[in-house]
Amino acid sequence: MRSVLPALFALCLPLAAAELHFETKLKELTVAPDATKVIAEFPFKNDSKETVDILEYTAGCSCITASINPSGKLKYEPGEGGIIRAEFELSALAGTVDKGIALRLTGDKPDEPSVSLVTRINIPVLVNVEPKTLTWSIGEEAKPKTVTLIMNHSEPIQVLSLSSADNRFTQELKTIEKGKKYEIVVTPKNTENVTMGVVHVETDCKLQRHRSQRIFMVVRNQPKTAAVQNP
Amino acid sequence: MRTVAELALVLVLASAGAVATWKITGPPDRSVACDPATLPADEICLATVKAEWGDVLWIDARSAEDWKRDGLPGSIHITTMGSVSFDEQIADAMDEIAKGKRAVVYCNGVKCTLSKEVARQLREYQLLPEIKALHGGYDALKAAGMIKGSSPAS
Repeated sequence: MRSVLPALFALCLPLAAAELHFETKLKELTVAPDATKVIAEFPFKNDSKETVDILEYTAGCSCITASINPSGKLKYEPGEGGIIRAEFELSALAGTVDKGIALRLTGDKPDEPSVSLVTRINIPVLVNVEPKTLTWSIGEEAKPKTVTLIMNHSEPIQVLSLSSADNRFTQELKTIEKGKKYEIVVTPKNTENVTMGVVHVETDCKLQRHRSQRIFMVVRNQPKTAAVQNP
Repeated sequence: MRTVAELALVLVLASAGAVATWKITGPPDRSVACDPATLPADEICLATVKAEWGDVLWIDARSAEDWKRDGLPGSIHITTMGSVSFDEQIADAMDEIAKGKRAVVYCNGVKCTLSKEVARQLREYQLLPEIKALHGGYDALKAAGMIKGSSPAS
């Protein structure tokens, strides 16, 4: 039995949580307004006295391709290091987006990865719409509310058209500074019923991602969260 | 040789214990563990949704292909992947959003972060009264028997 106990102890050793030291677990990147791919790298080193196995690395969505350099190396002796590399497809988004990769190391439970790597990607917003949603409460006076469009680009961006599929709201475009700043004034026909609507704003921005914008309008019962309203 | 025999004995005893446990308590619980007390504020347990939220708007944040294949029946699809802009997806789903229900966003599983990202982006529009990401995502729904062949709302 004297030999069994040490053997059992040895079997239990891999159950102890291992650790890798990352230079940073949050990487912030600002990309070009028309960028379609971004690459983030997370260097790490095994600073412990134990061998650490990367049992699994999982991307937070199918828009991320995760890999390890040296290629395919999952076992790291004390002092050894590597790089987790994440490649992101940026799709049609603008603004700030967080993308994650989870690493499960020696001793981690199957659904509890001990390492979470986050890449915060800032995609410049060339057409800033504020607020995105106009809200009226049921019974409130059906007065006009305003959305402001500010163009944050080296070139002017002009609003070409406004369109809406329903007639429960009217909208009017005001040019404050051509190519730079516009206002859209929206008025509901009434506030008697719960209603939602969308105004489609088309611009002449050369970058597809930023060309079309939408403004949302809501007439609703008293919301549980604070609504965005214009003064 | 003796060590091997002793280890074999330990393994046999452990296996016998495991089989006995299976017989007494039934098959292992494959549901996704979720403790509301330790959950981040932007996530919610499936049990809480069922017990306290009731009728909710389910939002599938996975790829369009995944949603069409085995999305939760009645769910809508809004994601931060693909070529359709976020506000265009919201506009397409306005009929469902207009109902004003609380919304729960899900993606693949515990390690998936997409649902939290979609929930965060949706909150900025202030169209829905409350939005949370489902802890365990699709895996939790599947374990609860809520994914059945799929006939998601299109």
